[in-house]
Amino acid sequence: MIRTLWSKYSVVVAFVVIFVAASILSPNFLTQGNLLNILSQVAITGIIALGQTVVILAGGLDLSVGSVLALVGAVGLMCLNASGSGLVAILATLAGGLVAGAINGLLVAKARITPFIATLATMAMARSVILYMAQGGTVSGNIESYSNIGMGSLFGLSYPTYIFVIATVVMFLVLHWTRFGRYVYAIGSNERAARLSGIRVDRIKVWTYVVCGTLTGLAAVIESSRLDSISSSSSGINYELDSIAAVVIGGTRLAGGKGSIAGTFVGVLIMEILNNLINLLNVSPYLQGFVKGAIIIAAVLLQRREA
Amino acid sequence: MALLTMRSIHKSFHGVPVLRGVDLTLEAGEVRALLGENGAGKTTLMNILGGVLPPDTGEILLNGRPVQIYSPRHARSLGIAFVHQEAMLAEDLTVAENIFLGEEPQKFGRVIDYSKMVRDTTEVLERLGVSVPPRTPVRDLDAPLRQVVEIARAVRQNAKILILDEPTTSLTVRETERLAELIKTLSGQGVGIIFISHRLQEVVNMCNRYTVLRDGMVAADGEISDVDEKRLVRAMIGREMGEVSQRNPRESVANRDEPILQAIKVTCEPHFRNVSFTLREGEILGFTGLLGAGYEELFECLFGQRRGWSGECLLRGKEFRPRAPVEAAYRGVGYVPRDRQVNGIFPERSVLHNTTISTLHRLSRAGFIHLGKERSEFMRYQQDLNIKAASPSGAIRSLSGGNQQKSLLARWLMADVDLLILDNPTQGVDVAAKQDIYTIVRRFADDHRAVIVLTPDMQEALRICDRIVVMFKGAVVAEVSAGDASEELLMLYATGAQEGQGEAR
Repeated sequence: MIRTLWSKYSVVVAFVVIFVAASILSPNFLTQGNLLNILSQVAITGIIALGQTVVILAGGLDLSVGSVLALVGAVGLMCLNASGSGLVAILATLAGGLVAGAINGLLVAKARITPFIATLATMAMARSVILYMAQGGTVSGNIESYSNIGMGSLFGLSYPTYIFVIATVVMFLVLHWTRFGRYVYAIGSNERAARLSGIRVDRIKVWTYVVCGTLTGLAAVIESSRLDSISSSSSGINYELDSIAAVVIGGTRLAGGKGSIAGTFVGVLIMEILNNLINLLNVSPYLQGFVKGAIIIAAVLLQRREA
Repeated sequence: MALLTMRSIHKSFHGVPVLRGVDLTLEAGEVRALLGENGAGKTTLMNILGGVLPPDTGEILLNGRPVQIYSPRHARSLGIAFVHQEAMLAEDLTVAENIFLGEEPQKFGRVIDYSKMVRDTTEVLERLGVSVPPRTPVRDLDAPLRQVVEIARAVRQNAKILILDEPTTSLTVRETERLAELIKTLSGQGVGIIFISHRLQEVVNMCNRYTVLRDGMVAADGEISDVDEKRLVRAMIGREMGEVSQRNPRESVANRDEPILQAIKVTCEPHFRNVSFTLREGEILGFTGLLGAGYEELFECLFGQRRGWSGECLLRGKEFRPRAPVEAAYRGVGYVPRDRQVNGIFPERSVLHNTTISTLHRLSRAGFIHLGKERSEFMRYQQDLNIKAASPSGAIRSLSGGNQQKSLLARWLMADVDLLILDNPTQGVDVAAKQDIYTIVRRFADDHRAVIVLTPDMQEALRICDRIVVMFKGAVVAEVSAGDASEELLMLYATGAQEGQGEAR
């Protein structure tokens, strides 16, 4: 009993411990401004991590999210400049993410390429395409109001925060309330059994990548509008690793079948609080990666207790 | 002095006794058949001899000296070699590399002496009277040659005792003859051989002594020359000839009932060929046979898991050729697979989710599952099938085997299928749950539907089926009404000892 409770809520316990520790260590941590800042910072990786969770739950993996974010973000800005319409830009960015996801999904489910390899390839390809299109430089938007999406706020909370929270709730409902969600868990838990139960395994797998790609597109909207530009060489770098780290810290099993959106939400927050704390305590930012790595190891070791 | 003496071996798993005081001896040059039905304890006994499992009590003597066998490696160093059913070889390595795996000859300290390896391999293979180029990758060999490689590995290690676990299941008649010769050669060289097989004809041809296990005890033991196949079967099933099974099969199944499934000359080489049968409403049709009989593959084809079969199949009179399980399910066919841990359950998911997974399309609207309806539907079936689970949301792997199996049955009953294919439905299920499952299956069939039961257990086939099709090496050898059959008769058909009269229509 205690074991199942622990396995279910160890992430939450870890979160509370880290939160309390951060409040004690730095007087600036528990201020409204700082907390809002954390939520706002976390939106982009957080939204990608939601999609990554779905893919991983079904036994897959998506390494292409960072490159895809840069590519479709830049494409969105080009559409913005060409059309002058923010709506067109948003739709183009989302559609680009969707298409990229569909390509990943088809490579994995239909061409039967291991997810790691398939998305490693598309990661390289997406990055290359945007580098070529921007000639290694930066794509900028020339309509100022577009940056409202990334920078604007309502009742003290930034728009990205709202988008992240809403996306989390939607994905939570999708996984727990829809057939698609059930099939995702079933495939990750036992793909053979899923096939034999009459689930269209390949189709569902494609959809998981489409969901992940579209959410990456959503993250790209925020990223491109926040700075009003996308750097073809540096935007989205390491986002795939951050999103996977958040999923793992959140207690989702990398082999699939086990985990939750709520876990990923907390996992993202844990990562960001630690980054934030490093800043507040004036620790060298170069140590962020070390702390992140330590957290991943600690998370996996803590969760192993369940067995 | 005997080469090997196993005395009073006992072994239990989780308090369930599997071996209850088994004695076994083996002389040099002897070929001893080890016989028994599934679950009689043959494999456990050989695992003890091969160092895979320790015995609870009992002793093992080699050449009169008591030994403890700690591990498979230790067993090999004592001269005991275990050749498994499926050859355990490294596919990409050559014949020579496989034969010397882990014990490669070395020169200059650390470098493998490849030419010596090839020379020695040629020598060993010559001793066995076969010629395979030592540098051939194992991947390119056929099943019997792979077995030869395994045996050659044992011979090179100077094995004194060779255990062959159902070595002929994947072999053709001619290949089996070759193996027989090999066995003769080895026994002539003083190797003691323990031969596990269900094919009694082969046993009679190849072995000179036998031991029959039944329920973990030695049921018979003696010289092959003193017995015939019928006596061996009787010893295996432990009942006298002519003894009738306990239930009366359904009488009402006559040609007037509507056929649900008709198969006409269905073939999928090399697994099975020219299989024809008709399944009618209300009927439970059993398929049985030994390992490699082909009936499992037959229904993998008919459920859309396996492609590349020919012949015709009609479901309720319409063509039926599913390309994937989902298509079969859509046509109202359900399939409860064998080895439920591997093929059936979603281990860490709840009982509830495991059970409703094939019914969600009916329980949801616009993709959203009606959670209340789902739960009440589950409760209905839980009560109906007497599934004992602490809570619907508890993980299915915490349930007993019987309750897991019932959940899998409920998965398809709930999906309202017309035809249910059950592959080894009571594997690892306790007696009470077994009875429950039989009742559920009968009730399902009685409701104008039909069931196909695939089972290696003849007793089970007799108990729940109306008719039984027996297959042997991919062909139907007999189709009998359960009322006219006995376990012994089925076993004779299944072992190829007797040709059937009732070839399927």
